Amino acid sequence: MISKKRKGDKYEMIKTKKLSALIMMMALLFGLCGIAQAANTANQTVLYQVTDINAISVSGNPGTLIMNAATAGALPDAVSDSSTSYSVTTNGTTKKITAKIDSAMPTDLALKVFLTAPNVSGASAIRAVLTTAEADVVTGIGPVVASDLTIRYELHPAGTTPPTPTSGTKTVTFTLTDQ
Amino acid sequence: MQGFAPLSFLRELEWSIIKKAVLLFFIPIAFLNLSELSACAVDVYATGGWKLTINSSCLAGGAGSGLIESFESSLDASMINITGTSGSADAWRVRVRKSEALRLHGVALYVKRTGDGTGSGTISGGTSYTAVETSDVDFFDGCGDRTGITIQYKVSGISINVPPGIYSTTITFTVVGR
Repeated sequence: MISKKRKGDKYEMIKTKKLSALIMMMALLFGLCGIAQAANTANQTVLYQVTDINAISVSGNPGTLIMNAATAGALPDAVSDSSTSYSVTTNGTTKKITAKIDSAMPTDLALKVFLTAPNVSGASAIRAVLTTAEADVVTGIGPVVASDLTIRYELHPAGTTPPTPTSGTKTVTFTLTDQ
Repeated sequence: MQGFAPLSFLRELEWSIIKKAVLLFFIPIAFLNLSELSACAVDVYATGGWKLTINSSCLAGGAGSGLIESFESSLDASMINITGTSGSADAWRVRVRKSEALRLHGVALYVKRTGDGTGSGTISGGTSYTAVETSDVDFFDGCGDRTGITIQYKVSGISINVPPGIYSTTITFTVVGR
């Protein structure tokens, strides 16, 4: 009985060795292939950089604003022009548009501008009196592509007496910038 | 003594099952792997790459318009060499994949083979754009050594909503036996 048990143990040992040898052989084969396959791939890098994109343009010049009517007993009527528009594209998240004129207006006249805000959450328009200093006209602009947004100019009498007859040309500069 | 007989029988049965498993499963796999070793010897090398800068000049129509639909690299942005084949009858296939990065923001990447390269073997396929995914897709086939195979890239789907920044992806070309 003991002899049979020893024979059984020996047999078990041989089986275990055989099995181990097989497993090692399999591991070697898989390992060899792994090593060989490591050389049959090649890498390349595709890189793209998106820079700040801020573009604004206007459609042209508004018509001449002529102040020539008044109600008796009141200051001359304000006049306006909404014939021009602007377009804007930006990938910024907190942008604004400012406006300024190249030289000061007569003291008895006020030139105002009102831009339609692009349809983007958080954007709002401000009716601003144009001076030679930058004034915010649209704020809270996020990433947007928008075109043909109306620009409205208004010429108002300033002060308490009618403006002196005069004429002039102003260059209005709109700037899309960080808020 | 009587008790050993069933135990021994079970052990024999167990060993028999193991042997059969080895014969039926592992040995065929080993042969498959051995047969692939010849294909594994084929090497692929790639040089070049592509750097794309997107700025205001990339707007389709200036202010008020979005970015152009797609961007293409030069015709020879990358060059691939296939070497180490056993001869002009040794058939291979190049597969391609990309890393995860460009999946962001809906950006799609494509590759196209723009040249045959030179060599004793042949080359076919891959001459129209192939969308590169994060898992391997077949790109082009060939036989024997080929060098100087030119590759062009295309990126599409970059919108104004992609925040400013630098984005990159690794393109992996893999050659496998056919």
